[in-house]
Amino acid sequence: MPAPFDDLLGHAPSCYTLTDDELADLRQEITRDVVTELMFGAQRPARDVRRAGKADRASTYLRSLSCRLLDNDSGHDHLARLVDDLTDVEGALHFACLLSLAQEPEEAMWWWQFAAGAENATAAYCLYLLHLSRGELRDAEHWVSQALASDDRIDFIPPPSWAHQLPEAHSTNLGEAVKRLKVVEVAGVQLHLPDHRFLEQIGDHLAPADSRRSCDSARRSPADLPRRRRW
Amino acid sequence: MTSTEDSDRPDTLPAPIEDLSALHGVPYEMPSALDAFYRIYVRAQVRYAGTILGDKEAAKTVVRRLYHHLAMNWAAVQLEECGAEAYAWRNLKRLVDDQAREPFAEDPLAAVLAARDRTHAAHEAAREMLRAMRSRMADLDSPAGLYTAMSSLPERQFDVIVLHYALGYCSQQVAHIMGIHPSTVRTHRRLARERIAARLGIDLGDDDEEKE
Repeated sequence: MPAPFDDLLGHAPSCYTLTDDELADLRQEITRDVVTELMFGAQRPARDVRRAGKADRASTYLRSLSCRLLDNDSGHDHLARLVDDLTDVEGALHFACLLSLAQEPEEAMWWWQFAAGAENATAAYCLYLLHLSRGELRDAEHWVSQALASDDRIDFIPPPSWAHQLPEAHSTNLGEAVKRLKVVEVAGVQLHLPDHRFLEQIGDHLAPADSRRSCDSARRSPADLPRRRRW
Repeated sequence: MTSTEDSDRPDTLPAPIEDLSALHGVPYEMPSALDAFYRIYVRAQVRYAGTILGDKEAAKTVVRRLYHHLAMNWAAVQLEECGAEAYAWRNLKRLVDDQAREPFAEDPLAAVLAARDRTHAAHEAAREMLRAMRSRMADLDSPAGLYTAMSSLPERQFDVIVLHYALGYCSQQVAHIMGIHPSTVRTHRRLARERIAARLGIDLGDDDEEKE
C-alpha cells in the first residue's frame, strides 16, 4: 500500500466522546441557560431566533406550495402530460409535489432535481424549502441560488405561519395511490411511474373542498384557524 | 463557558443591582422526557458536531445551545410532525453552521466558506472508510480523490457517511439520531458509496451492512 494510506491509517481515531462528568456538567450548564432566559429573557441574538423560525416554517411553505400547484385544473393537465411524456418538466414538478404530499420526499427530490435541471425555478425553490426544513443549509443555499438565477418566475406567496396542514387522510390516500404505481429503478433510485389509472384515482384527491380551503390560506381569516404553535 | 457567551452578559443584564438582588431565582427542572432524550442522544450529537467542526469545545457549545432551544420549546417539539429526533437534528445542523460562521462575523465571505468547509469530517470519514474497505481501495494511488468525492456528496448522504464511518453507528442508530427511517439511511449510504465509487473509478462492492 502506498505511503499516504499508511500515514493516514496510522492516526489515532479522533475522540469527541463526552465523559460522564462532562455529560453532567453540560446538563447543568443547559439548566443554568434556561433559568437565565426564564429570568432575564432571551440572551441569543434575534438573528438566531429568525434562522430557527425560518427552518421551522419551511415544511409548511413546501406543503402549501405543493397544494397550490396541484389545486387547480392545470395541475391535473400537467400530470396527464407527464404520463404521456416522462420528460415533461412541468409534469415532473407537479408529480414531485404530489409525491411530497404523499410523504415520499426522497423520490420527490429526484423529480424536482430533474425539473430544476431544466431551469424550472419553482422546482429549485421546492428543493430549497425541502433542504431548509431538514437543516441542510449548504444544499438549501445551492438550490435557492439556482431558483434566483433562473429567468423563470416563482408564483408563490408564503402562507402565514398559522397555515393549516394537509389533512392526514388526504396524504394517506395519495400515498396509497402512489404505492400502486409501477416501479422502475433509475441510477439506483426506485421511481414510481404515473399512469392514466393513477390520474383517475387521484382525481378526487387533488382538490377536495377541505384541502382547497386549507391550502389557500390567504383567503382564510386567521380567526377561522386554531393556532398550532406559539412561534 | 466560552468567552463569547460571557461577553454577552453585561449587555443583556441592564437591570439595576437592587432589582437583581430582589430576584429569588426561577425553579426549573428539565422535563423527564427531555432528560431521557438528552441521555440517549447527547453523546452522538457532540461527536457529530465535533467531527464537523474539528473542535470538542465548540461542539459542546453547539449542543448546549441545542438543548437550551429544545428546553424552551419542548412542549411544541413533542408535537412536531417530523418527530423530536428530526427536529433536534435539523436544529443541531443549523447550530453547527452558526458556530462555524461565528469567528467570521465581520467577514461574510469567510463565514460562508467556514460554514461550507467539510474538510475535517471528510478526512475522518475517509480514513475510517479506507480502514473498513482496505482491500477494495488498495489500488488507489492516493486518498485525495476520496476526500474530494466525499466533500461533493449531497449533505444528507454526507451526514450518513460521517455517522456511519467516522462515528461507527449502525443504520438503526443513524436513523434514530437523524429522525429518519432505517431504510432511508441504507438508501443514502448505498447512493453515497455508488457516487464515491463512480468518482474514483473503482468497484466498492455490495453494501457492508452485515458488519454491523
